[in-house]
Amino acid sequence: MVGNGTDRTRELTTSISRAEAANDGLSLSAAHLNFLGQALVRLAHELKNHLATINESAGLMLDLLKMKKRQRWGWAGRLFRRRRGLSLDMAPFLTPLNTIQKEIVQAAALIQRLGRFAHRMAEAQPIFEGNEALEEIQDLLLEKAGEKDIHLVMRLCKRKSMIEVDPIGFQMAVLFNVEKVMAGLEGGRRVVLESDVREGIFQVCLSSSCPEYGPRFGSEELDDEGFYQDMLEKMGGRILEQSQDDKYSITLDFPLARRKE
Amino acid sequence: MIAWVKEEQKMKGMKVLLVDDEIEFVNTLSDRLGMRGIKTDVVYDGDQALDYVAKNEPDVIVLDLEMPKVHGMDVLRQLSKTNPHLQVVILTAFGSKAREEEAKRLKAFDFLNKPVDVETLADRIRGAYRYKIEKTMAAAAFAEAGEFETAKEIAKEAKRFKTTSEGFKDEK
Repeated sequence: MVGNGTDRTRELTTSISRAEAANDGLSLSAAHLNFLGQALVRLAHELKNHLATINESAGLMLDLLKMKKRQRWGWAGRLFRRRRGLSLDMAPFLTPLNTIQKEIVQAAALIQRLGRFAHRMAEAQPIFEGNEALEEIQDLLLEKAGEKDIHLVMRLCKRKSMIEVDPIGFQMAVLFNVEKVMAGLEGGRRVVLESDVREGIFQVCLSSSCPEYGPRFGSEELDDEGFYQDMLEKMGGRILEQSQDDKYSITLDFPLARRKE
Repeated sequence: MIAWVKEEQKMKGMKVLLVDDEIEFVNTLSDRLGMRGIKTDVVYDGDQALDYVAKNEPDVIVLDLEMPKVHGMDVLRQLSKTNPHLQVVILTAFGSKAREEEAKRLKAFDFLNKPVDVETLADRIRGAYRYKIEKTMAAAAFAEAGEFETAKEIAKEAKRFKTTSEGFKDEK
């Protein structure tokens, strides 16, 4: 009888643990989807802005061409044509043409990043290049900074560094912490995001000169960040917050992928 | 009876402000509207828009939503309190049903998505201006006349002009 009772307790404990794990998984999935939706919407927004500029520039060229045509074929235009010949002045077309080209290049780069991002979601490869993953959310980060009138500078290291964590979790953790650094800042300030590789870890350092935060001097590991803190720890990483004089920084450490023997 | 002046003459005095942080887009749009007889001034964020309105009292504003400093919806919210006769046409790449509803609630004249056909935008701007003139004149006439017959006539005229505009106001 006692043995049966112990087995039953063990069984129940196991099911509770499984349910808790499943619940954690569901929360994480929901957060993933939310993040994905947010990022895709932002990217689409940017794309539409570029398309609108292309549309206006192309429209301006058409307007100018129509004006030229009227000038050439109206009675005044015929007089103009006889006196000046058929040559068109191309100067007014050059600026809109250049704008079209520039916008198309930017739109193509955005679509490229959108494609990479969606691809990563579909495949969910656990090993990825850290700087590429940061570039994918660059537009989202800049947009968030722009909303607060904060100048975000991104300095990514040139060294290729493969990380072995959940890629979307990595991007979410960076986004969350960039927002956290910006939260206490007034408009017009600067936040620097730097990436680096040190002793088996990929580091993302976020820093700002920020007198709004109470100076804490020294450094401490955060223990109150709840969801993101847990998530980073589960990924084998950690968050370090530092505050010295008027400089505030958060460093995120992610484990590099182990090389195959 | 209200004597309505010719369309062209009415549009001549129209003051239009374009507000958008996409500098190349808004400058080109301004040029193209200019080619269609609509002269515009341009500012690049919500703060500048509020400053401009306080100093220059435009008739129509074409307003973007996603902008640094002050969000377009906040600009609209503020203008609906301080300048109720000013007509606002929202032009955004970030349109959604919820935002459209919010703009409608705040009495925006219309809500357009980018990219937009310039002829459509020009029509909506003219419609917004016509609506503004009618609204201002009706308010002035109501204040001065005070007679039932006059008020009835003005209401009839106002209804006629509402149907010529193609914005949200048509639906009412």
